[in-house]
Amino acid sequence: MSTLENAVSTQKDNIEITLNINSKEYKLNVSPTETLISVLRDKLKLTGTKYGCGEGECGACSIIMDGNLVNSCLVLAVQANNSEILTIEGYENDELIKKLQDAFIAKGAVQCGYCTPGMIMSGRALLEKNPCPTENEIREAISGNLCRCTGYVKIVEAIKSATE
Amino acid sequence: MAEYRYLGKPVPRVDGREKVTGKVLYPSDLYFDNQLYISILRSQYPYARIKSIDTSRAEKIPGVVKILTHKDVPGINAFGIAVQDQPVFCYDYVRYQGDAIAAVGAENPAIAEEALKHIFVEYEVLKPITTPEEALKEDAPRLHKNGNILNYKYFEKGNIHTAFDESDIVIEHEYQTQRQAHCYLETESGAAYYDEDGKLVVHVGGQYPHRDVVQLSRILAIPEDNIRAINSPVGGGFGGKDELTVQAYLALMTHITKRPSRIFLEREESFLAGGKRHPVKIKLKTGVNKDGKLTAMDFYALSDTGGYASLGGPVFNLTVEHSGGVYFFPHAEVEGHCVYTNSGFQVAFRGFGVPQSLFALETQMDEMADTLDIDRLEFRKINLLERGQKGAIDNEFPLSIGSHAIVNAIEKGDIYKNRNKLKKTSKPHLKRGVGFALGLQGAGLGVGLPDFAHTRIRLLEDGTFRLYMGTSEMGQGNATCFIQIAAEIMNCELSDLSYILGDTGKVPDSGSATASRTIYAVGASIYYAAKRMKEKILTLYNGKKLEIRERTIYVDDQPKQTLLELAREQELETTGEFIVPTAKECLGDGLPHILYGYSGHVVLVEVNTLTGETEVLKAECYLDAGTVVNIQGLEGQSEGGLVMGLGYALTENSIVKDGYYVNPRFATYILPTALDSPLDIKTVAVDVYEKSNPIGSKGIGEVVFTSVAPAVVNAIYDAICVRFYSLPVKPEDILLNLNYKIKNQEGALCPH
Repeated sequence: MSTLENAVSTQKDNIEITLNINSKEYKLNVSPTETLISVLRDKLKLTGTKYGCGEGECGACSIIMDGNLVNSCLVLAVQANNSEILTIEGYENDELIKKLQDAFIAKGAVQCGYCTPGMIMSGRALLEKNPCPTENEIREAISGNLCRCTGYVKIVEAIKSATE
Repeated sequence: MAEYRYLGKPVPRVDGREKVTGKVLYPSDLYFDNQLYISILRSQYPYARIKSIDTSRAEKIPGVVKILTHKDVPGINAFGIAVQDQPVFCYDYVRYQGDAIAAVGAENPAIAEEALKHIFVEYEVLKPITTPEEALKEDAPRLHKNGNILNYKYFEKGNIHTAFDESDIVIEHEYQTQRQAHCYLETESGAAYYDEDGKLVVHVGGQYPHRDVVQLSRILAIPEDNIRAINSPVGGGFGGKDELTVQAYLALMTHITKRPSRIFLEREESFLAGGKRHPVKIKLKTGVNKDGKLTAMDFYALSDTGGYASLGGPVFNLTVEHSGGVYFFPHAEVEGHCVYTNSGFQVAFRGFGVPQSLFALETQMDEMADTLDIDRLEFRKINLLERGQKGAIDNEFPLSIGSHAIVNAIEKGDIYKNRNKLKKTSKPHLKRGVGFALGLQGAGLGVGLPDFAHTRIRLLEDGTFRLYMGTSEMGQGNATCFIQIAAEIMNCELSDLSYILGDTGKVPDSGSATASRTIYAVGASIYYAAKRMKEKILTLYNGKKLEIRERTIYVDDQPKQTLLELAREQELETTGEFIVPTAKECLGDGLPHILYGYSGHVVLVEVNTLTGETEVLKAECYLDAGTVVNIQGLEGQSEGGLVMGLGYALTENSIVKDGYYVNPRFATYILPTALDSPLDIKTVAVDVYEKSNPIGSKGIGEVVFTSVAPAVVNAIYDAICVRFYSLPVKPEDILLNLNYKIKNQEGALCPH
């Protein structure tokens, strides 16, 4: 097979998967090389999850999959089959995310906002496991999320205040 | 100081809710039915002559709809804010590794990407110019028709030669700053489509939509009226999205195919194609007398703009203009070249040429103070430029000068006051030091460039007001500040106001979101529009005092009408304009400024002498913002600017070797994370009023950054007695120098 045919064939959506995203079930056809972030953004238009680097360095695409924080750019869609996924759009049914959102606004933790959904998901993952984290635990928890605007101080404050 | 209802208060961001819920649509979030996905073929070489471009095979790939090359550009195949020397598509030469040669529009991104491999470009590979020194050589190839020198500047004040002869001490060093990448989290991306009026909409995160329209009109050869640019919101800009990035490819693709198009640069492509901060080599010679008075400065800068000009010329102007920092030099010679090379491509970046000069000067200020055995802050105090004195290029400072207030505040600050206590550590391999540096930054575009802002306020049918501004919201928080200013003047509630930003189809031209100018210039125009709206309403009811509460108009404390009733009776609209004041005399294109913002940064660092790592434990940021509009926004800018400055000082370096980018990824280009950044950052806005602005404000988007790196480098010296003359100061540099010191038994590691 030529590289061209190969490129076209790997694009074929020939695998059926089921995803539970924000408590809603989706049956989707995906290609073998498709990433979870591509399904979320390009297919389902859940664009709250951001694409920053595509190689797990920036954390903008952080989501929660079966209770674990993951970079959705590093997960293949087929790997996510039958899993439960929580994205920023799932905030309405998630008290922790709502608390974090209010705290991010109140503390001024948002500037350009492109890293914000990923930061909130990292905060959400932390607070579920550790409801009263120290400042250093918060720094550790968001150390996989790059922010170029805020200098992180207000993000740490926001996550801290969401526990109060 | 006047008591304000909104100004200075920590009003939450007006765009906060849509951002935390993920609902806000950035340019990269736009998807359209029937859209084409664009991929760009970029140069494989830093410098080569293009012999031929063959797209025929790629065109036959199923799913490829259109391949654009230079032949498809109907208008001028060039762009550039200051100098239009950058081709949209290269046709004769490629001049840096990220140069664009062709754009594929395909039915899906994988096909677009695949098609790139089937476009054949025949090159004659040429030896690249990799350093600015090579570019200046007589026999160097000429990268552009006017040669390799983009900007040469020379200024002379007094006589430095006799002044140096008569000085008690003369110190001379060579400094080198690096190429810094903007690393906005949202890469250059967006969409083009036709709107309901048949206008070609180009929606890309940018910093000046009205200028995008001008540039696109030249490229497409269609009237400006037929193009609409939407630039907001932006997932970070910092100057890197001031120039056209991907707008031309989108505009051409949609204009030619009549289909919506979408582009999204992967991070690596963003690193390769996107502009960076100019690396500058500075030779700095300064003279000083034993009484601590500076006598003379000889400054030479050599700046590398890479393959194209963009704003390299104006950026270099500021490097030269700010060479003397906040100090008075009776004698000065300031000279420099900004040249083209094949090493990447440099553009505007927060600080706009100033951080390079300040790194050299503020490092040398410490060394002079130490040589004289004068306290480093005291030495700065002795030499602060006073009103009436002229700067290094004989420029004047007729407006507010914040440096005196900043020095006084630093002196009272915790780090400076308690520095001896703070420097104590419990472990012998950890050495602590305190460093500081002062900075300034010209605000606005300078002499001779159109520098204005227009805004509009309208009462909508639903009984609320709307602000219309051309400015982009890149995250800096200006939308919130504009609403605060309007609400303050109209004495209404914040919720009575909404806004539209950065859409040329809907808003007037407010100038660029650059040069620390939006709060100062656009904010002023909002002030005037709001004042006129207030006066209009008061005239209607023949009163003197206006208050709007619960959507009801109170005049002289009497309820008159609801806003809704008024909106049904009357069309109310006002405009505001502001022209940025400039110097009477032009000292060369754009030079000088007359308005400057000021900063002072103080840091406490801890150097691990076993690993060479530097941790910044504590920082104080002193800013001269004039009247603060939003204290929370100011702190946010300050903390973000500080951490970006720590990256500049310690880790960030976009390396170009032999014309090729070495580390175009987040895995190898090291940005500060939350673990690398101090939580203990204190921001102090010093009390200065800027009388040329109606509310007394200045911008702070750049001063938050400009003086950070020298403060860190000075603190490292304070900790381990090693002075660094190039950035960034990496752990291996520290270890190498410490080992050298130990080997040569050069005194104690830290005598103080």
